[in-house]
Amino acid sequence: MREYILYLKEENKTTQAYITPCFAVDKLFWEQQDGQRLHIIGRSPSLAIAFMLREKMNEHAAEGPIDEAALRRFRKLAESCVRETNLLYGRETKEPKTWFTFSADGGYGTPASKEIDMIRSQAEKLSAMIAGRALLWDEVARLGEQRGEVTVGLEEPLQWLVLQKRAAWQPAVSLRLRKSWLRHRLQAACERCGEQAAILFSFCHRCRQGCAYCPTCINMGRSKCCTPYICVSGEVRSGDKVRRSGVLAWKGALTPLQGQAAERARAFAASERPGGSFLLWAVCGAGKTELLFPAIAHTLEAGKQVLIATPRKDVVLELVPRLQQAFPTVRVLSVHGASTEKWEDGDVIVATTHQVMRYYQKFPLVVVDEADAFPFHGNRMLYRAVQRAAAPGGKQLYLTATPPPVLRKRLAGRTCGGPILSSSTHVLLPQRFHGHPLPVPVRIKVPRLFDKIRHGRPVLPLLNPIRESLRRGKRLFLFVPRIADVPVVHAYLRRQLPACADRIEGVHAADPDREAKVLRFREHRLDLLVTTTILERGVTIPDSDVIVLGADNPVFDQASLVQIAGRVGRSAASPDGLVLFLLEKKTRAAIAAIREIKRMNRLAQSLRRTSDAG
Amino acid sequence: MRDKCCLSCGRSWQSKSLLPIQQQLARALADENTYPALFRLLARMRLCADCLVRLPLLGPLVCPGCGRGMPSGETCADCRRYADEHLKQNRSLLSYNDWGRSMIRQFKYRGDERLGDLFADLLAVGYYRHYRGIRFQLVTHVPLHEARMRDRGFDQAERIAVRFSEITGIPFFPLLTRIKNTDKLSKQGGRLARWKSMQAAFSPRERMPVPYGKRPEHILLIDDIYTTGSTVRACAAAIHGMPEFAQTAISSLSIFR
Repeated sequence: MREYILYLKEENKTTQAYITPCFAVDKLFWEQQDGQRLHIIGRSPSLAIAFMLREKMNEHAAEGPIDEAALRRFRKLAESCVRETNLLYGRETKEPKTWFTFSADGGYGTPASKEIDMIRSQAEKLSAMIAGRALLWDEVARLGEQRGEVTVGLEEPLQWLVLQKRAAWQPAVSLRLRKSWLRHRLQAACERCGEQAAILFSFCHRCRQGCAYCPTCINMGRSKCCTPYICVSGEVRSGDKVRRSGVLAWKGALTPLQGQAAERARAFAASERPGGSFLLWAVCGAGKTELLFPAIAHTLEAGKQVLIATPRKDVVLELVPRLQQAFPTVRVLSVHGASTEKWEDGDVIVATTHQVMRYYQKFPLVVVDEADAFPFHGNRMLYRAVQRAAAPGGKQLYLTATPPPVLRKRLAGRTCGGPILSSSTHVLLPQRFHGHPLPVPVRIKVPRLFDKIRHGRPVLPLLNPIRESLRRGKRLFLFVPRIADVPVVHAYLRRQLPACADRIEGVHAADPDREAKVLRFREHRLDLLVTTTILERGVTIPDSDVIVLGADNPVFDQASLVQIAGRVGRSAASPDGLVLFLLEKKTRAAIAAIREIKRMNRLAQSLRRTSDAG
Repeated sequence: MRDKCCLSCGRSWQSKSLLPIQQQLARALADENTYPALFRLLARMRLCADCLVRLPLLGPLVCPGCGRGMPSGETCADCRRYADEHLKQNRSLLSYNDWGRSMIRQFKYRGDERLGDLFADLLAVGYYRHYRGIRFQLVTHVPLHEARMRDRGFDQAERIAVRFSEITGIPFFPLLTRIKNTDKLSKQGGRLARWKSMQAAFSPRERMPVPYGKRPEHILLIDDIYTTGSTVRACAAAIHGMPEFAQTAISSLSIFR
């Protein structure tokens, strides 16, 4: 069981509180500088309590010189604080008992086990190992094991780094007392994912104290009160900060419009002004990944690293080979939960959102791909993680076809007549790479649509377009709102279209044969795929049509409908196709999606006209 | 918001189809006396309709020795060969498949303590299903080694046992401690290796106030998984080694088999 000592440092009439797991190291450190006096307040096995008390002490630290009476006052304050926390913690767990202990005594702990030079050299190694990362204590130990470094007695070098202000640490779940006239409250927050509401209070057998943990990010290792969370800011690697040239080996050409947008993104990445975000808003099928290449190439040529964050693992796996092909001389890493390259270091890092949380102030350029594909409640987590992964003064580049309202308001400005083409913080590319307009969805109202399907009655607005598409030899996506609808609709279509019954298949997220079925569809061994929203993005199948069944279901919001419509007409050979929304009642999302697509087409048309005139 | 997610699949928990499924499952598992208790358990279990339907229930015909699902209801080959006098019988609720494996991993190794309540509820369901006719005076658990507990940060077995005793009303008392920090059983192959590593792994707690005026006749021992039974058999042997429990019958109950 580790114990944390809380002490005050007095220097030239200023006083500050510190926490240490090994007081001897602190003494060694402060002895190097003259005129310091250290006063121990007390010790606690709970890291969260120690940090809470440190905050409290710092609030009161300016109250004159530290003498015996003042120390007594500080200890009393700490004890009352712990008592209050005990009470509130007991209220949360419905089990009143002494959850936290705090002993207000001196005692200097164990003496340092190593020489000062030893600690120094270990600290250097540790800092090189975890620079630019935000890790739990256990993860640091595991990383050290993997690199074959010393993993025991890490406290001392770590504390050395903290005192030098090169590392920061805090409890992975922090506790704060919130006092108010109505009732006091204990507020717990996960420092890793930012969760506050769902934190669970329990007892821990490791620290033998009350210990809250975060269930939201539990799949990345348990984040709890007694685990230190260590953030080390990433230094620019000194060894290879050499300018490289000619990293981009991509030989394709951008259309003039694409070129303009890509140049804007590059200019943003290259600008001298530190920080800032930029939105690259390009419609589905505009060739978004290629637009990034100039900006990435510029950053790489300056000898810096790039992080590409995306919400889904599929996208990571698809993106990495493409990037490696475009940048053959640099190291492209794919970082996701199951990847073996998780702990290594590369030039371009493509990571899922959860893995982005493990980086800290490391990247001068962070690209967020498909920012809106993340499930709704995780959005705040994504922005938080991206902000932390960017180096101080680092730049954030958002890349999406359907920017979420937050981003749109912040970066694309607010105009009453719809979006504008470009501003200082965004650029909009309304035209596809082949220059043809987006297919505009057709909306048809069918009363009691699902009742009819369930009872096996023919729904002509559904069946006729399907027959027509199949006659023309096209492939067809049929989107349904719920997983439970997939088998129902599948069976219905097999009955209604006996001619091609065995070329129809249904697929959903929990389907074990999902990949195989999509592959068969890709290879045109299937004509019709009934699917939930899992295939709404990332799947490019040339010459296909789309029907959305029950487009009025709240599952299909505006962004999702725009993405679905974007599946159609991706290739230059057949740039148009059918997009059909079948709904029982009209909804704002469906109308807004259609309006948005039409607006993009209008913008593209006016662009073409001006470029023709010019 | 998060309270409305199914603990197993994370999707929305409450739906129109949930209530009929709970009723149907409770009817299948219970007789007319235990139906209300079983239904209440199922209703608060926080599993969605899909996951409830997919629970891999064992039985109704099982081996009378170890609780393995036997279509004929006769004693299985393992029990005929290896049964010992310490453990009277074992019963389990579910068969240990991929779902069980992932749940156990989430709970024990990831440390998702919310699953503890679910496991206690499942155990209680197993109790109402298999052990309704027996009067237990005491419930006890398979303890964790001190070092393992520190490593993991929480004592999952005790948590489940306390909850279980709250639900069923049988008093809980920790009788044993673990004195040997064995390797993970699942990492050891073979019945013999498991049996060997469990030898003398448990001992009575040092201070043992007898919780009852008279000696209990029947003790229930609960655990999460029963594979070959070496753990619960070792526990039963250790309990029989205590003079005040030498004549006690010991049955065990586990979630997975």
